[in-house]
Amino acid sequence: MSHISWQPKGPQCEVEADYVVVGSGAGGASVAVALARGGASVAIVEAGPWRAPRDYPSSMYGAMRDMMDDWGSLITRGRAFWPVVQARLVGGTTVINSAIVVRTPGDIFQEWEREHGFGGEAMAEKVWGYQDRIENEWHVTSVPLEYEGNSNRLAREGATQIGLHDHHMHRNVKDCLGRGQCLQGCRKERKQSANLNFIPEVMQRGGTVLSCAPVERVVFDGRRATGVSGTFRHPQTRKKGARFIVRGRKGVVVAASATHSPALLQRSGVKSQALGKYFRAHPGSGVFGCYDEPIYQNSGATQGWSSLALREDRGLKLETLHLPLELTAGRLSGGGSLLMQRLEEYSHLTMWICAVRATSVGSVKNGWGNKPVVHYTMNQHDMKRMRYGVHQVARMHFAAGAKSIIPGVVGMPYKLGPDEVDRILEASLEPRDWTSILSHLFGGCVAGVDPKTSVCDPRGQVHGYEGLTIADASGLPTTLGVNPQHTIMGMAMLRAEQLLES
Amino acid sequence: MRMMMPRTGKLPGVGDTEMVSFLRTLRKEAPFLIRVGLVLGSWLLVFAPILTIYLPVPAFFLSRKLREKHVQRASVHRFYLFRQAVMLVKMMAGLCWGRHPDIRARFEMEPLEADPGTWRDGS
Repeated sequence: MSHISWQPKGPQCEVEADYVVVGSGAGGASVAVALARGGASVAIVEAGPWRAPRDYPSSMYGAMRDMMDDWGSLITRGRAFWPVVQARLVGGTTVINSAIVVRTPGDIFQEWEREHGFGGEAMAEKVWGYQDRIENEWHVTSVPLEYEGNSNRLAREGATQIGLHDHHMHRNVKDCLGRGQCLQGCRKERKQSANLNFIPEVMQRGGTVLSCAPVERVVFDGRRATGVSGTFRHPQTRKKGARFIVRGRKGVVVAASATHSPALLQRSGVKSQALGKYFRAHPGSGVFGCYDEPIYQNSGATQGWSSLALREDRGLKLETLHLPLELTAGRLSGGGSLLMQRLEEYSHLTMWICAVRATSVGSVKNGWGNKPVVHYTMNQHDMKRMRYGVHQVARMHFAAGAKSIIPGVVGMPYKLGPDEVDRILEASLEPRDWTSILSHLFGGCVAGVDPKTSVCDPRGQVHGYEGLTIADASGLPTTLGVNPQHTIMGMAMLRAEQLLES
Repeated sequence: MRMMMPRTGKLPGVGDTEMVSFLRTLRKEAPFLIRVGLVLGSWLLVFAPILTIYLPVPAFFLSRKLREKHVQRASVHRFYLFRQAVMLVKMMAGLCWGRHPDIRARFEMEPLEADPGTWRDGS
């Protein structure tokens, strides 16, 4: 087994395996481990460094510097600049997310079959079978009550009060200590991210991992993908190092994320009318509740409660989120002494959010410096959904005993009392007036039967090319309305099975 | 950043934390776009009282009361790009302020451990 990290300028680094997998997140790690278990030799190529839990930062500054893709500076271009949150390290976003595991809803496979020509019950059974196995291997359990924390408890109580069915989060966390540090990576090694299990297993099975190795191009022999090439980047200084080329005797699997996968194929010269199109997301926005008693939102599971009660009718998922103190100043409105006065009540605040299963469609292009450029604007239909979701979250806060809420929408008062909650329904629908982020990303290399409207076929093979497979969220043709990690992993394992069969 | 998060009766401001070393580190480590955005946002905060309180003087010539008014209006300005540039300054100030042990102690939070900034070499 071998791990090749940053190499200074010198002779070209050359590696050969049956399959080259670009990316080591939920998709890349899953497809790699399934291929390795099937007897194939695998080389994983990851743009970011390998950080073990003892390397994880504690502060949000450190998390942005050491774990986020380009310090989290990727923002949407459109009506509003909304951050696109992705990780850049071995294990990908599985290292910095809240470890939420939700099975792919059955209606998704029906929707894919109806609108994109694949999916259906047969695919559902296969993916759920893989998800069974992942849940067992990644120790998926519900949040233990003793580490629920005040915020998750209040959300549960508030939701019950207003008639929303809810549940404790299922997360891939073993023996959670409730330290509320999921977003910076779990230094206690309780969160089961891909860098702790699947990637080491690939190496134990003879695989190779290249880290600090951003791929510049997929290499082709005619229409057949034969490998990838790039240049090592120092994780601290960002200096260029040696060139590398990784050859895949049987093919190249691209799993670099919904933003980087389409950008990589574009700069590699892949011709497809649908490449970079049909980018979708679950934009989310949060509401602070202000309580009389201290909440200490950073104790307990980072995200330990959610409700899917509004998913089918309204396309909404409601959940808790602990916002670190360092990010709260940026989230509260105002500046100067007024901002400091508002920060004084931090211990009494807690944030709950709504994520929208948006119908809005954007695009991804390869930009300067091989960075993806994301064009995305929420349409009015989705903005209305978000506004409705924020209203529901505000109602939950009041039902749980909040004395006021902070909606964080430009044009609204800083705080609203219980008798003013319906004013949220009159809030602006202009995206620029909202603070939102895009955390769940889909599309850009979508799968389908028609080469005019899809980049890859239902098995993930890029139309018109040989040996080039898509195995990440970029291949998903729709949003899900639930956290996508489990679906990405199940679909990636299915892709591996199909590759091994062929 | 000092204007954005000043000291108050109950809380230390960002100037009371390790702001200078934070900015020095940021300048060394942050990507170009973030550095440019922060400089641009800071310049706007200093030189844009004309857009907020309609006075053609830099912010450092303003009285404390007027400066407070300027910063408050800048952070909720109707011109989106202006508001976003100021937001970046506020965000960076928050990153510096919120990780300081004294500030965390005020909120009964444990101090953060050091960010090692290390990674795994090849094997």
